[in-house]
Amino acid sequence: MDFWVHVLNMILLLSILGMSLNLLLGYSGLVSMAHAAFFGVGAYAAALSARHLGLPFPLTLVVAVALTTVLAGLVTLPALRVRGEYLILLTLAFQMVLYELMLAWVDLTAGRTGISGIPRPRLFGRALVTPLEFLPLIALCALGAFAIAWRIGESPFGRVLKAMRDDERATLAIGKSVLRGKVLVFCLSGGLVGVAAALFAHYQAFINPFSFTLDRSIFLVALVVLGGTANLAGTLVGALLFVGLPEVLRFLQARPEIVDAVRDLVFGVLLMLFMRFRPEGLLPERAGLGIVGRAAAPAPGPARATDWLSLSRSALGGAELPLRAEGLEKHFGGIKAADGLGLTLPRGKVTALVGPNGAGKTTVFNLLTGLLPPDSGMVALHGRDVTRLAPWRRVRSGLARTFQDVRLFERMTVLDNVLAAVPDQPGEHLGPLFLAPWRVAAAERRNREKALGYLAFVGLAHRANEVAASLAFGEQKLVALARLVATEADVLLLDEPAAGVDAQWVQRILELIRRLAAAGKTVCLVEHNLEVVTAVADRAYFMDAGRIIAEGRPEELMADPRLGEIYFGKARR
Amino acid sequence: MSRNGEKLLAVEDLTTGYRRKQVVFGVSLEVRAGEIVALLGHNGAGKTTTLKAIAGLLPAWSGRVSFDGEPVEHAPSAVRVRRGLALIPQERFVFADLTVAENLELGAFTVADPGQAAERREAVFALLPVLAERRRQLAGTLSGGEQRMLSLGMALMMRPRLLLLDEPSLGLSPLLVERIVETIQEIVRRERLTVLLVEQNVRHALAIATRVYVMRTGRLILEETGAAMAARGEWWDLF
Amino acid sequence: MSWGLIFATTKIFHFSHALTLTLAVYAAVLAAGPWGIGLPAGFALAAGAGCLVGLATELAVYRPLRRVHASQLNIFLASLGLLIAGQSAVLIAFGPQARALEGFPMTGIALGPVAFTTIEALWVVASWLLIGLLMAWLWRTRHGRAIRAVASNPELAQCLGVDRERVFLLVFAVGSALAGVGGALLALRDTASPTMGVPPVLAAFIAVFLGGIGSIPGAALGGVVLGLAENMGGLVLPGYWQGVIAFVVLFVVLVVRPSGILGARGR
Repeated sequence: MDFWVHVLNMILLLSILGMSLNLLLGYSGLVSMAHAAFFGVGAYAAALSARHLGLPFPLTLVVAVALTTVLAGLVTLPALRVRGEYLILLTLAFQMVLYELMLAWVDLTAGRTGISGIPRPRLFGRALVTPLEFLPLIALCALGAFAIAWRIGESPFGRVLKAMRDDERATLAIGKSVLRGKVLVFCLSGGLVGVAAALFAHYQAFINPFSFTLDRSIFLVALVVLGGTANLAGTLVGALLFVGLPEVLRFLQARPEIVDAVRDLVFGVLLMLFMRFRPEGLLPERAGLGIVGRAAAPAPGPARATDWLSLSRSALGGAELPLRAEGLEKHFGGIKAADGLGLTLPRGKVTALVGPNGAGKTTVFNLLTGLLPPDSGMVALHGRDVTRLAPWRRVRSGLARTFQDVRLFERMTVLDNVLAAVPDQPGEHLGPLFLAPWRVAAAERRNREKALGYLAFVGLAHRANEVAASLAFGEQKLVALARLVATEADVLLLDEPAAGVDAQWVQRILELIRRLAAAGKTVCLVEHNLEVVTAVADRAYFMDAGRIIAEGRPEELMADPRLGEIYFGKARR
Repeated sequence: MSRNGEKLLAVEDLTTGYRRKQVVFGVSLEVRAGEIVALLGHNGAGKTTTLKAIAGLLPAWSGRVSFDGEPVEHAPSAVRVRRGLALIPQERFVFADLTVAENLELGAFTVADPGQAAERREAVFALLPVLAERRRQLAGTLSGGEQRMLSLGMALMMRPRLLLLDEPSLGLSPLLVERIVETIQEIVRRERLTVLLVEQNVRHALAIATRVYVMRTGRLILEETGAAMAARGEWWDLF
Repeated sequence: MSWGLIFATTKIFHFSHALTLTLAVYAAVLAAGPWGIGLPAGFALAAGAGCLVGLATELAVYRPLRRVHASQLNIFLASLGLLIAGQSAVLIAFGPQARALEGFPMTGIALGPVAFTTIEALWVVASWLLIGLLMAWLWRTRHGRAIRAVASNPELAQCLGVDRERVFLLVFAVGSALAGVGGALLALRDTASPTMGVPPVLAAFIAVFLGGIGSIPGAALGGVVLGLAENMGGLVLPGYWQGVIAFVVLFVVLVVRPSGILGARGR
């Protein structure tokens, strides 16, 4: 009896670790190969603070959680700037170093002997000794961890994490800070590890470094991936298999030293096969929020949709020239990509940037949105200097863009793509998320209605619950447009809105752009198809070699023989 | 060697694109031996994508590509290169961290005989002396114009029967563009190459092309002789 | 170096390189011990076994994954899977105990104040020899140039008629054979065990990232810097901090210069 309860306890502890890792790997697409080491640090923290400082159980838990949270946060410091492989490497190195320290720092950790005699926790005046007595405590903590992980994963904050996982640049472009998301989720994940670690130390009453090896980290990754990334129930299944499989083998009376090896073998082979045939894991991610997502909302009338359109950051500002740029310079090596550029975008009008390939049109967009810092010059939005503002903050102040290659969050639903872009969601902050759930729920209902309104505007409300990647390219462009409007920015930069789209969609997209301008938005677009430019733009800037050399209605520009020469090349004698 | 006037490349009803995004919607064109054909059109019209599919860097979704009378739409790019169908891409057209000499050697990768490769290299150095001066320099340290020259040198090392050139004037100053165009003319005349050229700069294309195709949003909208195209005088309606 | 070669060319985070190394070393151990065909034959066998394991990995695991456009992360995870499965297979077949690679005469050599063993002398000579050979091969031969071309600009290499898949095979064959020999060299002193492959491969990761991704000489330089830092640090700090030094060096480099010491330009 005690044996099976023990197995159950281990499954629960492991699933806490798994859920913690799933927050990173599944929801945020961040790899940690150091979770076993974090687990070890937490366990040592709890053990040492109990042995040497005489702290009672709940306090040792606090110590462990605090330490693992800080440690995990520390990892993100260099990880913020670097790409995926670096993160793997960095956490691998972290794992190895911490493990070596546990082995070698004998004065503190007693090396391979380990620390024994960790006091059992006393709850309600009673020491917990047997597995059965421990079960309620562990189960309670596991339940708590599950609740926290689920609340985070399935909240508006979780939506931002998933967006970040699917496309970091697009996440910045909807006005969300990727930096904040990464640091927070690493800290949260670390904190959950701390919980499992403290429980483990007190439960075993004995720890040594061999529980915290790289292999453990690898298996943790394996069980999360096999169970299903971004699916917490999957993690539970993974933990069940991982602990359960050897017990079944033992039951079949295999030799004990073989049991673990067979389990590892099976897991390794499964991992390879899954990557090839079922990369999403046993229980795949559910796209969309489980509870409310399914009820297809009635499409709001067109009047409603237009109501939402007028929402914007500065609807009250009313400046006639919402965006003004002066003297923008940008050099790449010896090439002047922007050479004293100045432009203004009038409210309610569609302005186009045209010019030959390599004239610097995309550079202008990157300078305006802050993706590139200019060497000199300034960008003013509603009269306020935003030249030094981070890209995602500019979006929050009302300047947003689309990408020519769309960049939807592919594994999320169409609705979630749009919903993620709605600004000022209380559910993106941990405080309201856990302390004022009613506010979060109310905001979520309102935002969902808004997002459906935007989707109705582009005519895709009926596909709200489909996964973005399953849409045709033309439809994806429309979703990107809805996502852009959802940022509630009033200056909209469209990068080749009609590129790569079949003729039938082009007309629809142009119609929507006209309606956006009519609703008072300020629109600027880069487009190479001059037919499109003539059809939709009120005015155009003609660019060449990083400068603006002419301005006027598209037809006027095309009538200018000088511009023709620049566009098509000089006549040769 | 196919004689002048014989059909060297025939593309029929080609469709292709990237992942879910279709870019080319049924393009049919042909190039005869000895011709210089230009493929024109606005940016994003699908010119580069068409070239990539012809060279085998992108799989054709449907349609046929035949080279010298034989279907090649399923052949890997290495096979097409060996048959003499080669593309010089629009971007990243040199190995930046290899030397100029090594870049040229790689141009002759499919040439088994080292003596022949050396011979061609000397010919390239004679035609483009700037490359001979810089043979030990890393290609990445060359100027933009020199890198373009190097890529033309690599094309000469390959000596393909049909050269696909993707925007050889992109990103160069007007003066350099003139020189590149002249070099291409020179190469074409000396080696009697057949070329399918993608260009944005209509006049430069017309300076060398005998025939043009114009693409808009993934489809061909016009085919005519270089002279007829030049006679139009301006082309806003085509772009 | 061998891991760096594979990573620079194929962009695969080839974690199960550790398994290649382990299997090759076991082949050498068997050859030198139970089969009694001698140590030199053992080294040859290690190279051969490494080469085969590398080829099999590429053909059976990575190529099918590339065919379904698996993400970098998924390929890495599959590599992890292969590593743990392979390690436990070794454990089941040979047991967990360490095995010595026998047959090399180990004695101490003293040159003035510097004392080292014959094994260490062999390490120095052999590793510089191998590095020299590899560099010469990469820089002087047609195949070597094709590999550097693919590492530098895969699409252009394809345009010039270089078959990417074949270059990948070549790289796995050569890189894995090198790993086999390197592993056997290590095993002369440190014995063979099922998990022996991970620490040297981890050191290789760090060296490659220190030197700069995609730069093959950078990987060698990274290795030297790493070795120096560890040993210099070891003089002034207690032994258990030695492992930490590598990490601190990596941390600093990542923060100061994310592209590595000889990192690719223009990123």
